[in-house]
Amino acid sequence: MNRFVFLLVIAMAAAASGQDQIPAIVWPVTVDPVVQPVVQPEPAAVSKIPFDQAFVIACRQRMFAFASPMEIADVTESAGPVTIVAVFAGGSGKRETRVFDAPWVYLLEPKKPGKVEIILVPYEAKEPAGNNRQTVEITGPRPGPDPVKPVDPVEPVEPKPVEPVKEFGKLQVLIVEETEDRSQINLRKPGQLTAMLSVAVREYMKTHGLTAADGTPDFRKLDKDQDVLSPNSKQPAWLKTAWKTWQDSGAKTPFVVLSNGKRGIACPVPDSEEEFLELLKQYGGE
Amino acid sequence: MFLIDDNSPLMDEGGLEPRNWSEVPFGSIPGVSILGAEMAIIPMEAWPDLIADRQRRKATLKELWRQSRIGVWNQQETRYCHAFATAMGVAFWREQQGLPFKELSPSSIGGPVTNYQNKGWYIDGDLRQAVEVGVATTDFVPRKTWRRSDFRSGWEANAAENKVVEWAEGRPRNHIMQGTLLLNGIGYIAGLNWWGHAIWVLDLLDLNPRKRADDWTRYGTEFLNSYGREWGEDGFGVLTGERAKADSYTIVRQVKV
Repeated sequence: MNRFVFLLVIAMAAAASGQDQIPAIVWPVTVDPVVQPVVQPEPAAVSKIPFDQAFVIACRQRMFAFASPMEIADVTESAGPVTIVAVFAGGSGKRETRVFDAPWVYLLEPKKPGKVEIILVPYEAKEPAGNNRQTVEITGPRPGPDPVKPVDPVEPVEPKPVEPVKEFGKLQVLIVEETEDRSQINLRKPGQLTAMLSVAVREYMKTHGLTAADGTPDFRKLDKDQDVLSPNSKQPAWLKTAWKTWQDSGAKTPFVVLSNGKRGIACPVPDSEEEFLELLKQYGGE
Repeated sequence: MFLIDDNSPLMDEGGLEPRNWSEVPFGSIPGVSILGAEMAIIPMEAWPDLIADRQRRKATLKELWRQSRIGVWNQQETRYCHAFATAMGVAFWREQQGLPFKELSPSSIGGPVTNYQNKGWYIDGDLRQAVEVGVATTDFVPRKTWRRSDFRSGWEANAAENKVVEWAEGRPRNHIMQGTLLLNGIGYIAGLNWWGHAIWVLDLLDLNPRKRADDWTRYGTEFLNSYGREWGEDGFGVLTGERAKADSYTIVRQVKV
């Protein structure tokens, strides 16, 4: 997937709260004090961002970062430090290499020209107060494929098919999630949560899934803290096998394990309902 | 759409005992987690897009209900709205998890907690029953009864198969957390003191797109009542405004698989 990043570097400030143009976010005092996130725009904020230029926000603190409306752009998160090679908006106009030495780095990914509001909400906010936001306009036509990818030491988990031969069969599907993460997923990858909640997927399983004696499809969406493998658990064998597959993978949630009896796959839940259905059809057929 | 707004008259169904926050303070129930401690809120600015996307793709709890066998329940002459809402929470969570369908009996909760009397009770009391004893199926306890004699032998062993493993409560009248839950596909059991009633809330609706995204009156919360299909719109209603802010709300976080 091509990634187009648009740059407005928001400096990682030191403590200088006097330079803040956006009010610091106030936290309720519980245990150790939380480092105040300081998100500062450049003195001359960029309001128009050409499609082929990079827009990067660096933050001390983890944020819910999203763009509204979603049709214009996405915001993706990376754990820092991150090295990006791009033409940065507000920069020299030439390709540069910049290291964003902050705990969290957010990249704006345009989808089409238009105005978009970028909103940052501190991750642990109990109330909406303290949102940082900026409206920018993405200009120009979408350029040809020229992926600008940050050098990220954390490689995404690639799906590894168990067997390459394409044989179809009735499916058994397990989704493992951390329910408490749904807010994060909803803001960063809403399509992924839609995929997990998809009624279309369940409908597909009714016709393409194996079923128990009572007609229940072999489809489960369970929280990772669920007790599936204990001796007292009366879960079917396929579920225990799928659960162990997830556990042994050490992968983060949300995760899907599926099999058609001949071949299977274990991978992160796809980022959209369409992709999830496509994945199922690769094993369950049309 | 059957809409209940701030101009709707106050009612008192009498099935909900308002929680005594002095005796049982928020966050004080052992084993019950607090919403917001782990699940962060979704800012209201993001709500319109998320609602629109979810509706467009039919990835809502109401759509899940449509393709399920849960149906619309009717408490009829019982004052067990508290138990009905709780059992609905269990039923919906089982459906989300893909577990085999079971015809659950709300009265298997309501009877024991009220000492087999036809009266209102506290939602947190119902949930404790669902955790400690479980929820029986209608094979063992009729859906609507408060008579001990209607509980068949073995009902407790049956109920133990359907225990709530974990639940969580939200800070009262925190509409932002309420909206967050619904956008995350998590319904909640709501206690409404103005109605003296407990309901199961399952969806967030964008009723007035012309209003600001951070204006609570822009939205409505859709709920499944326990008055049968003849009530509201096929058993459903929509709350908006102050009426929609729940005086207490809890979610079922895990049920025994």
